Amino acid sequence: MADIDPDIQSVKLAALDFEGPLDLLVYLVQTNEVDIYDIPIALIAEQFLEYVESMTPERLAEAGDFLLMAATLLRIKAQMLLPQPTAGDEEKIEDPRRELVLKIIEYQQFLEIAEHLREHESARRLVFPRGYRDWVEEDAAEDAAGGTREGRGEPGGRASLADLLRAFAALMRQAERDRAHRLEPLPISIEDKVRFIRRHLLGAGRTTLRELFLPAEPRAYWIVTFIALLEMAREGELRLRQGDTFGEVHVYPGKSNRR
Amino acid sequence: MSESRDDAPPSAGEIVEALLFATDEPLTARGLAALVGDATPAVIEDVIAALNADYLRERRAFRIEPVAGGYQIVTRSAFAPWVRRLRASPPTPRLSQAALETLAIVAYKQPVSRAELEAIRGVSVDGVLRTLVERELVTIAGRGEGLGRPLLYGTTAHFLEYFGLTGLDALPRPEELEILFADREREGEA
Repeated sequence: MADIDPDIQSVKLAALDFEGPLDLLVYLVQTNEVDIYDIPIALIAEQFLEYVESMTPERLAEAGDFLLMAATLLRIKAQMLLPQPTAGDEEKIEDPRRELVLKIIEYQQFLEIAEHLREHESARRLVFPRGYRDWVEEDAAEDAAGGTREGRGEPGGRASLADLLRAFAALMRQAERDRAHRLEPLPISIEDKVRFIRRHLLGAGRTTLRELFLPAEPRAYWIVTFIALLEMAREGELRLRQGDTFGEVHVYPGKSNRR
Repeated sequence: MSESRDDAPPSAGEIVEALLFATDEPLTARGLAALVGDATPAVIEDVIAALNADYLRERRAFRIEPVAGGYQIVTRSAFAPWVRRLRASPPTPRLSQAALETLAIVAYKQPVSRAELEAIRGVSVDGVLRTLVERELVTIAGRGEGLGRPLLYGTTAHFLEYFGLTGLDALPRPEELEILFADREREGEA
Protein backbone atom coordinates (compact mmCIF):
# COMPACT_ATOMS: atom_id res chain seq x y z
CA MET A 1 0.00 0.00 0.00
CA ALA A 2 1.36 3.39 -0.95
CA ASP A 3 2.08 5.63 1.99
CA ILE A 4 0.14 8.82 1.66
CA ASP A 5 0.98 12.07 3.35
CA PRO A 6 -2.04 12.39 5.62
CA ASP A 7 -2.14 16.20 5.32
CA ILE A 8 -2.19 16.23 1.55
CA GLN A 9 -4.71 13.44 1.60
CA SER A 10 -7.16 15.22 3.85
CA VAL A 11 -6.93 18.48 1.94
CA LYS A 12 -7.70 16.68 -1.28
CA LEU A 13 -10.50 14.72 0.34
CA ALA A 14 -12.22 17.73 1.85
CA ALA A 15 -12.44 19.35 -1.56
CA LEU A 16 -14.31 16.38 -2.96
CA ASP A 17 -18.01 15.87 -2.89
CA PHE A 18 -19.39 12.43 -2.17
CA GLU A 19 -22.88 11.14 -2.72
CA GLY A 20 -22.78 9.46 0.67
CA PRO A 21 -20.67 7.44 3.06
CA LEU A 22 -20.51 4.45 0.71
CA ASP A 23 -19.35 6.64 -2.13
CA LEU A 24 -16.56 7.92 0.14
CA LEU A 25 -15.64 4.36 1.14
CA VAL A 26 -15.45 3.25 -2.48
CA TYR A 27 -13.18 6.22 -3.16
CA LEU A 28 -10.92 5.42 -0.21
CA VAL A 29 -10.65 1.75 -1.13
CA GLN A 30 -9.76 2.68 -4.69
CA THR A 31 -7.30 5.50 -4.00
CA ASN A 32 -5.49 3.48 -1.34
CA GLU A 33 -5.42 0.57 -3.76
CA VAL A 34 -6.33 -1.89 -1.05
CA ASP A 35 -7.92 -5.29 -1.54
CA ILE A 36 -11.63 -4.93 -1.03
CA TYR A 37 -11.64 -8.36 0.66
CA ASP A 38 -8.92 -7.37 3.10
CA ILE A 39 -9.62 -3.74 3.91
CA PRO A 40 -7.12 -2.22 6.37
CA ILE A 41 -9.97 -0.97 8.50
CA ALA A 42 -7.85 1.25 10.80
CA LEU A 43 -6.44 3.23 7.88
CA ILE A 44 -9.78 3.59 6.12
CA ALA A 45 -11.57 4.55 9.34
CA GLU A 46 -8.95 7.21 10.02
CA GLN A 47 -9.27 8.80 6.59
CA PHE A 48 -13.05 8.51 6.75
CA LEU A 49 -13.14 10.41 10.04
CA GLU A 50 -10.84 13.09 8.64
CA TYR A 51 -13.33 13.68 5.88
CA VAL A 52 -16.27 13.83 8.27
CA GLU A 53 -14.43 16.39 10.40
CA SER A 54 -13.80 18.50 7.31
CA MET A 55 -17.49 18.65 6.49
CA THR A 56 -18.85 22.18 6.62
CA PRO A 57 -21.84 23.05 8.80
CA GLU A 58 -23.96 23.54 5.66
CA ARG A 59 -23.69 19.81 5.09
CA LEU A 60 -25.04 18.95 8.51
CA ALA A 61 -28.04 17.14 7.02
CA GLU A 62 -25.77 14.67 5.23
CA ALA A 63 -23.40 14.39 8.17
CA GLY A 64 -25.72 12.00 9.98
CA ASP A 65 -25.29 9.30 7.34
CA PHE A 66 -21.52 9.78 7.47
CA LEU A 67 -21.42 9.62 11.26
CA LEU A 68 -23.42 6.43 11.26
CA MET A 69 -20.90 4.86 8.91
CA ALA A 70 -18.01 6.22 11.02
CA ALA A 71 -19.50 4.47 14.04
CA THR A 72 -19.76 1.23 12.06
CA LEU A 73 -16.12 1.52 10.99
CA LEU A 74 -14.99 2.08 14.58
CA ARG A 75 -17.02 -0.87 15.78
CA ILE A 76 -15.45 -3.12 13.16
CA LYS A 77 -12.02 -1.76 14.04
CA ALA A 78 -12.63 -2.63 17.69
CA GLN A 79 -13.83 -6.12 16.79
CA MET A 80 -10.70 -6.65 14.72
CA LEU A 81 -8.53 -5.76 17.69
CA LEU A 82 -10.16 -8.33 19.93
CA PRO A 83 -8.10 -11.50 20.25
CA GLN A 84 -9.54 -14.00 17.83
CA PRO A 85 -10.77 -17.11 19.61
CA THR A 86 -8.66 -19.90 18.15
CA ALA A 87 -11.01 -21.59 15.80
CA GLY A 88 -10.59 -25.30 15.86
CA ASP A 89 -12.27 -27.43 13.28
CA GLU A 90 -15.38 -25.32 13.80
CA GLU A 91 -16.59 -23.30 10.85
CA LYS A 92 -14.62 -20.15 10.13
CA ILE A 93 -15.44 -17.23 12.36
CA GLU A 94 -17.10 -14.54 10.32
CA ASP A 95 -14.91 -11.60 9.41
CA PRO A 96 -16.39 -8.50 11.11
CA ARG A 97 -15.77 -6.61 7.87
CA ARG A 98 -17.82 -9.00 5.78
CA GLU A 99 -21.17 -7.22 5.92
CA LEU A 100 -19.59 -3.87 5.10
CA VAL A 101 -17.59 -5.33 2.25
CA LEU A 102 -20.72 -6.79 0.70
CA LYS A 103 -22.43 -3.42 0.94
CA ILE A 104 -19.49 -1.66 -0.69
CA ILE A 105 -19.45 -4.21 -3.50
CA GLU A 106 -23.16 -3.91 -4.09
CA TYR A 107 -22.86 -0.14 -4.15
CA GLN A 108 -19.94 -0.35 -6.58
CA GLN A 109 -22.05 -2.47 -8.87
CA PHE A 110 -24.74 0.17 -8.93
CA LEU A 111 -22.14 2.86 -9.55
CA GLU A 112 -21.11 0.86 -12.58
CA ILE A 113 -24.71 0.60 -13.77
CA ALA A 114 -25.27 4.31 -13.11
CA GLU A 115 -22.24 5.02 -15.30
CA HIS A 116 -23.77 2.83 -17.97
CA LEU A 117 -27.02 4.80 -17.74
CA ARG A 118 -25.04 8.06 -17.98
CA GLU A 119 -23.53 6.92 -21.29
CA HIS A 120 -26.95 6.02 -22.61
CA GLU A 121 -28.30 9.38 -21.51
CA SER A 122 -25.52 11.20 -23.34
CA ALA A 123 -26.10 9.24 -26.54
CA ARG A 124 -29.85 9.62 -26.35
CA ARG A 125 -29.68 13.37 -25.91
CA LEU A 126 -28.26 13.63 -29.42
CA VAL A 127 -31.13 11.91 -31.22
CA PHE A 128 -34.64 13.25 -31.57
CA PRO A 129 -37.87 11.42 -32.31
CA ARG A 130 -40.63 12.60 -34.58
CA GLY A 131 -42.82 15.26 -33.02
CA TYR A 132 -39.90 16.64 -31.03
CA ARG A 133 -40.84 20.24 -31.70
CA ASP A 134 -44.48 19.68 -30.80
CA TRP A 135 -43.82 18.26 -27.41
CA VAL A 136 -41.26 20.95 -26.73
CA GLU A 137 -43.93 23.56 -27.32
CA GLU A 138 -46.50 21.64 -25.36
CA ASP A 139 -44.16 21.60 -22.36
CA ALA A 140 -43.44 25.29 -22.72
CA ALA A 141 -47.15 26.07 -22.90
CA GLU A 142 -47.76 23.96 -19.82
CA ASP A 143 -45.07 25.76 -17.88
CA ALA A 144 -46.41 29.14 -18.89
CA ALA A 145 -49.94 28.16 -17.91
CA GLY A 146 -48.72 26.69 -14.64
CA GLY A 147 -47.13 30.02 -13.77
CA THR A 148 -50.21 32.16 -14.17
CA ARG A 149 -52.96 29.59 -13.76
CA GLU A 150 -55.28 31.58 -15.95
CA GLY A 151 -56.59 29.36 -18.69
CA ARG A 152 -59.12 30.50 -21.23
CA GLY A 153 -62.13 28.24 -20.93
CA GLU A 154 -60.43 25.07 -22.16
CA PRO A 155 -58.46 23.18 -19.54
CA GLY A 156 -55.02 24.72 -19.71
CA GLY A 157 -53.80 25.88 -16.33
CA ARG A 158 -52.40 23.37 -13.91
CA ALA A 159 -54.82 22.89 -11.05
CA SER A 160 -53.02 23.53 -7.80
CA LEU A 161 -53.89 21.82 -4.57
CA ALA A 162 -55.77 24.94 -3.55
CA ASP A 163 -57.84 24.84 -6.74
CA LEU A 164 -58.57 21.21 -6.12
CA LEU A 165 -59.67 21.80 -2.56
CA ARG A 166 -61.87 24.67 -3.68
CA ALA A 167 -63.55 22.52 -6.30
CA PHE A 168 -64.02 19.74 -3.78
CA ALA A 169 -65.51 22.08 -1.22
CA ALA A 170 -67.99 23.29 -3.84
CA LEU A 171 -68.99 19.71 -4.58
CA MET A 172 -69.39 19.00 -0.89
CA ARG A 173 -71.58 22.06 -0.45
CA GLN A 174 -73.72 20.83 -3.28
CA ALA A 175 -74.17 17.57 -1.44
CA GLU A 176 -75.16 19.40 1.73
CA ARG A 177 -78.81 18.75 0.87
CA ASP A 178 -78.34 15.08 1.58
CA ARG A 179 -78.49 15.32 5.35
CA ALA A 180 -78.86 11.66 6.25
CA HIS A 181 -76.26 10.43 8.73
CA ARG A 182 -75.15 6.87 8.63
CA LEU A 183 -72.37 5.45 10.74
CA GLU A 184 -71.13 2.32 9.10
CA PRO A 185 -67.73 0.85 8.43
CA LEU A 186 -66.81 1.89 4.92
CA PRO A 187 -67.14 -1.07 2.58
CA ILE A 188 -64.76 0.73 0.22
CA SER A 189 -61.02 1.37 0.30
CA ILE A 190 -58.78 3.97 -1.29
CA GLU A 191 -57.39 1.21 -3.50
CA ASP A 192 -60.92 0.50 -4.74
CA LYS A 193 -61.31 4.11 -5.70
CA VAL A 194 -57.86 4.22 -7.32
CA ARG A 195 -58.98 1.31 -9.48
CA PHE A 196 -62.26 3.06 -10.18
CA ILE A 197 -60.48 6.24 -11.30
CA ARG A 198 -58.00 4.22 -13.41
CA ARG A 199 -60.86 2.46 -15.17
CA HIS A 200 -62.54 5.78 -15.75
CA LEU A 201 -59.40 7.28 -17.26
CA LEU A 202 -58.67 4.19 -19.36
CA GLY A 203 -62.14 4.25 -20.82
CA ALA A 204 -62.50 7.91 -21.64
CA GLY A 205 -58.85 9.02 -21.72
CA ARG A 206 -59.85 11.98 -19.55
CA THR A 207 -62.57 12.90 -17.16
CA THR A 208 -63.66 15.68 -14.85
CA LEU A 209 -63.69 15.91 -11.11
CA ARG A 210 -67.48 16.06 -11.19
CA GLU A 211 -67.77 12.74 -13.00
CA LEU A 212 -65.66 10.93 -10.43
CA PHE A 213 -67.95 11.88 -7.55
CA LEU A 214 -71.03 9.76 -8.12
CA PRO A 215 -74.18 11.56 -6.95
CA ALA A 216 -75.67 8.34 -5.60
CA GLU A 217 -72.77 7.70 -3.25
CA PRO A 218 -72.71 8.71 0.41
CA ARG A 219 -70.36 11.56 1.12
CA ALA A 220 -67.89 9.34 2.94
CA TYR A 221 -67.27 7.66 -0.41
CA TRP A 222 -66.52 11.05 -1.90
CA ILE A 223 -63.85 11.60 0.68
CA VAL A 224 -62.27 8.24 -0.21
CA THR A 225 -62.43 9.22 -3.87
CA PHE A 226 -60.79 12.53 -3.06
CA ILE A 227 -57.95 10.89 -1.11
CA ALA A 228 -57.45 8.40 -3.95
CA LEU A 229 -57.30 11.34 -6.36
CA LEU A 230 -54.69 13.15 -4.28
CA GLU A 231 -52.63 9.99 -3.93
CA MET A 232 -52.68 9.36 -7.68
CA ALA A 233 -51.82 12.97 -8.47
CA ARG A 234 -48.91 12.81 -6.04
CA GLU A 235 -47.57 9.72 -7.71
CA GLY A 236 -47.92 11.34 -11.13
CA GLU A 237 -50.48 8.82 -12.22
CA LEU A 238 -52.84 11.57 -13.22
CA ARG A 239 -52.71 15.26 -13.97
CA LEU A 240 -55.24 17.85 -12.90
CA ARG A 241 -56.11 20.88 -14.98
CA GLN A 242 -58.45 23.77 -14.45
CA GLY A 243 -59.64 26.10 -17.20
CA ASP A 244 -60.95 29.02 -15.20
CA THR A 245 -60.51 29.85 -11.59
CA PHE A 246 -63.39 28.05 -9.85
CA GLY A 247 -64.00 26.24 -13.14
CA GLU A 248 -64.31 22.56 -13.80
CA VAL A 249 -61.26 20.51 -12.82
CA HIS A 250 -60.24 18.11 -15.58
CA VAL A 251 -58.46 14.85 -14.86
CA TYR A 252 -55.95 13.36 -17.29
CA PRO A 253 -53.78 10.27 -17.06
CA GLY A 254 -50.21 11.11 -16.02
CA LYS A 255 -47.54 10.59 -18.64
CA SER A 256 -46.02 7.77 -16.64
CA ASN A 257 -48.79 5.31 -17.33
CA ARG A 258 -50.09 6.40 -20.64
CA ARG A 259 -48.86 3.21 -22.18
CA MET B 1 -55.37 9.53 -52.37
CA SER B 2 -54.00 10.33 -55.84
CA GLU B 3 -50.51 9.10 -54.93
CA SER B 4 -51.70 5.57 -54.39
CA ARG B 5 -52.26 5.17 -58.12
CA ASP B 6 -48.66 3.87 -58.36
CA ASP B 7 -48.63 0.68 -60.36
CA ALA B 8 -46.80 -1.55 -57.82
CA PRO B 9 -48.58 -2.38 -54.55
CA PRO B 10 -46.67 -1.00 -51.56
CA SER B 11 -44.05 -3.29 -50.03
CA ALA B 12 -43.98 -4.20 -46.33
CA GLY B 13 -40.94 -1.92 -45.98
CA GLU B 14 -42.79 1.06 -47.40
CA ILE B 15 -45.79 0.40 -45.15
CA VAL B 16 -43.59 0.14 -42.05
CA GLU B 17 -41.87 3.36 -43.05
CA ALA B 18 -45.23 5.08 -43.44
CA LEU B 19 -46.47 3.81 -40.08
CA LEU B 20 -43.35 4.89 -38.21
CA PHE B 21 -43.30 8.22 -40.01
CA ALA B 22 -46.85 8.97 -38.92
CA THR B 23 -46.32 8.19 -35.21
CA ASP B 24 -44.17 9.85 -32.60
CA GLU B 25 -44.40 7.03 -30.06
CA PRO B 26 -42.49 3.77 -30.45
CA LEU B 27 -44.38 0.98 -32.24
CA THR B 28 -43.60 -2.63 -31.39
CA ALA B 29 -42.68 -5.22 -34.02
CA ARG B 30 -45.83 -7.09 -33.07
CA GLY B 31 -47.97 -3.95 -33.42
CA LEU B 32 -46.38 -3.14 -36.77
CA ALA B 33 -46.94 -6.70 -37.96
CA ALA B 34 -50.63 -6.45 -37.07
CA LEU B 35 -50.93 -3.11 -38.87
CA VAL B 36 -49.12 -4.31 -41.98
CA GLY B 37 -51.38 -7.33 -42.15
CA ASP B 38 -49.72 -10.48 -43.45
CA ALA B 39 -46.37 -10.11 -41.65
CA THR B 40 -44.76 -11.63 -38.58
CA PRO B 41 -42.73 -9.65 -36.02
CA ALA B 42 -39.60 -11.39 -37.37
CA VAL B 43 -40.39 -10.13 -40.87
CA ILE B 44 -40.88 -6.64 -39.48
CA GLU B 45 -37.46 -6.76 -37.85
CA ASP B 46 -35.87 -7.80 -41.17
CA VAL B 47 -37.76 -5.07 -42.99
CA ILE B 48 -36.53 -2.48 -40.49
CA ALA B 49 -32.94 -3.68 -40.83
CA ALA B 50 -33.28 -3.30 -44.61
CA LEU B 51 -34.76 0.19 -44.26
CA ASN B 52 -31.90 1.24 -41.98
CA ALA B 53 -29.38 -0.12 -44.49
CA ASP B 54 -31.06 1.99 -47.19
CA TYR B 55 -31.03 5.08 -45.01
CA LEU B 56 -27.36 4.63 -44.27
CA ARG B 57 -26.49 4.15 -47.91
CA GLU B 58 -28.56 7.15 -48.94
CA ARG B 59 -27.10 9.25 -46.12
CA ARG B 60 -30.53 10.07 -44.73
CA ALA B 61 -30.67 12.30 -41.64
CA PHE B 62 -32.65 9.74 -39.66
CA ARG B 63 -32.80 6.07 -38.83
CA ILE B 64 -35.19 3.66 -37.17
CA GLU B 65 -34.09 2.96 -33.65
CA PRO B 66 -35.25 0.18 -31.32
CA VAL B 67 -36.43 1.78 -28.12
CA ALA B 68 -38.63 0.81 -25.18
CA GLY B 69 -39.57 -2.50 -26.78
CA GLY B 70 -40.61 -0.81 -30.04
CA TYR B 71 -39.27 1.15 -32.96
CA GLN B 72 -39.09 4.86 -33.57
CA ILE B 73 -37.73 7.14 -36.26
CA VAL B 74 -35.06 9.41 -34.79
CA THR B 75 -32.67 11.96 -36.24
CA ARG B 76 -29.02 10.92 -36.36
CA SER B 77 -26.82 12.34 -33.65
CA ALA B 78 -24.78 14.35 -36.18
CA PHE B 79 -27.77 16.66 -36.55
CA ALA B 80 -28.27 17.33 -32.86
CA PRO B 81 -26.82 20.88 -32.98
CA TRP B 82 -29.42 21.93 -35.54
CA VAL B 83 -32.41 20.00 -34.25
CA ARG B 84 -31.84 21.50 -30.81
CA ARG B 85 -32.42 24.94 -32.28
CA LEU B 86 -36.07 24.01 -32.71
CA ARG B 87 -36.56 24.71 -29.05
CA ALA B 88 -36.27 28.08 -27.41
CA SER B 89 -35.72 26.87 -23.85
CA PRO B 90 -32.56 25.03 -22.78
CA PRO B 91 -32.75 21.22 -22.86
CA THR B 92 -33.92 19.36 -19.77
CA PRO B 93 -31.00 19.05 -17.39
CA ARG B 94 -29.07 15.81 -17.20
CA LEU B 95 -29.85 13.61 -14.25
CA SER B 96 -27.70 14.10 -11.18
CA GLN B 97 -25.34 11.40 -9.98
CA ALA B 98 -27.69 10.73 -7.05
CA ALA B 99 -30.62 10.35 -9.44
CA LEU B 100 -28.72 7.96 -11.70
CA GLU B 101 -27.58 5.80 -8.78
CA THR B 102 -31.09 5.62 -7.40
CA LEU B 103 -32.50 4.87 -10.83
CA ALA B 104 -29.94 2.08 -11.33
CA ILE B 105 -31.08 0.45 -8.12
CA VAL B 106 -34.78 0.84 -8.96
CA ALA B 107 -34.18 -0.67 -12.40
CA TYR B 108 -32.61 -3.81 -10.95
CA LYS B 109 -34.51 -4.22 -7.70
CA GLN B 110 -38.00 -3.21 -8.73
CA PRO B 111 -40.48 -3.23 -7.17
CA VAL B 112 -38.39 -1.67 -4.43
CA SER B 113 -39.23 0.34 -1.33
CA ARG B 114 -37.62 3.61 -0.30
CA ALA B 115 -36.07 1.87 2.72
CA GLU B 116 -34.33 -0.69 0.50
CA LEU B 117 -33.02 2.08 -1.75
CA GLU B 118 -31.67 3.94 1.24
CA ALA B 119 -30.05 0.81 2.65
CA ILE B 120 -28.13 0.31 -0.59
CA ARG B 121 -27.17 3.94 -1.15
CA GLY B 122 -26.50 4.67 2.51
CA VAL B 123 -28.25 8.04 2.26
CA SER B 124 -31.77 9.40 2.17
CA VAL B 125 -33.40 9.18 -1.26
CA ASP B 126 -36.48 11.29 -0.50
CA GLY B 127 -35.77 14.26 -2.74
CA VAL B 128 -34.21 12.17 -5.49
CA LEU B 129 -37.19 9.87 -5.62
CA ARG B 130 -39.56 12.81 -5.92
CA THR B 131 -37.53 14.19 -8.83
CA LEU B 132 -37.55 10.81 -10.55
CA VAL B 133 -41.31 10.51 -10.15
CA GLU B 134 -41.78 14.08 -11.42
CA ARG B 135 -39.63 13.34 -14.44
CA GLU B 136 -41.73 10.22 -14.99
CA LEU B 137 -38.76 7.89 -14.91
CA VAL B 138 -40.04 6.11 -11.82
CA THR B 139 -43.56 5.35 -10.72
CA ILE B 140 -45.40 3.58 -7.93
CA ALA B 141 -45.36 -0.11 -8.73
CA GLY B 142 -47.43 -1.28 -5.78
CA ARG B 143 -47.29 -1.65 -2.04
CA GLY B 144 -45.08 -3.91 0.03
CA GLU B 145 -46.29 -6.46 2.52
CA GLY B 146 -44.33 -5.15 5.49
CA LEU B 147 -45.18 -2.73 8.23
CA GLY B 148 -47.16 0.25 6.97
CA ARG B 149 -47.37 -1.37 3.55
CA PRO B 150 -44.63 0.81 2.06
CA LEU B 151 -44.92 2.13 -1.48
CA LEU B 152 -42.85 0.20 -3.98
CA TYR B 153 -41.22 1.90 -6.93
CA GLY B 154 -40.51 0.73 -10.45
CA THR B 155 -39.27 2.21 -13.71
CA THR B 156 -41.63 3.54 -16.40
CA ALA B 157 -41.78 3.11 -20.16
CA HIS B 158 -40.44 6.65 -20.32
CA PHE B 159 -37.35 5.44 -18.45
CA LEU B 160 -36.55 3.15 -21.38
CA GLU B 161 -37.22 5.91 -23.87
CA TYR B 162 -35.15 8.45 -21.97
CA PHE B 163 -32.09 6.22 -22.02
CA GLY B 164 -32.85 4.74 -25.43
CA LEU B 165 -33.01 1.23 -24.02
CA THR B 166 -34.86 -1.51 -25.86
CA GLY B 167 -35.88 -3.03 -22.53
CA LEU B 168 -34.66 -3.65 -19.02
CA ASP B 169 -32.64 -6.59 -20.34
CA ALA B 170 -30.56 -4.13 -22.36
CA LEU B 171 -28.83 -3.15 -19.12
CA PRO B 172 -25.75 -5.12 -18.12
CA ARG B 173 -26.88 -8.32 -16.45
CA PRO B 174 -26.20 -8.36 -12.72
CA GLU B 175 -24.66 -11.83 -13.10
CA GLU B 176 -22.00 -10.33 -15.32
CA LEU B 177 -20.97 -7.95 -12.58
CA GLU B 178 -21.11 -10.64 -9.92
CA ILE B 179 -18.85 -12.96 -11.91
CA LEU B 180 -16.32 -10.16 -12.00
CA PHE B 181 -16.37 -9.88 -8.23
CA ALA B 182 -16.46 -13.62 -7.66
CA ASP B 183 -13.21 -13.89 -9.64
CA ARG B 184 -11.61 -11.29 -7.47
CA GLU B 185 -12.80 -13.09 -4.37
CA ARG B 186 -11.09 -16.28 -5.50
CA GLU B 187 -7.89 -14.36 -6.21
CA GLY B 188 -8.07 -12.84 -2.75
CA GLU B 189 -8.32 -16.24 -1.11
CA ALA B 190 -5.51 -17.79 -3.14
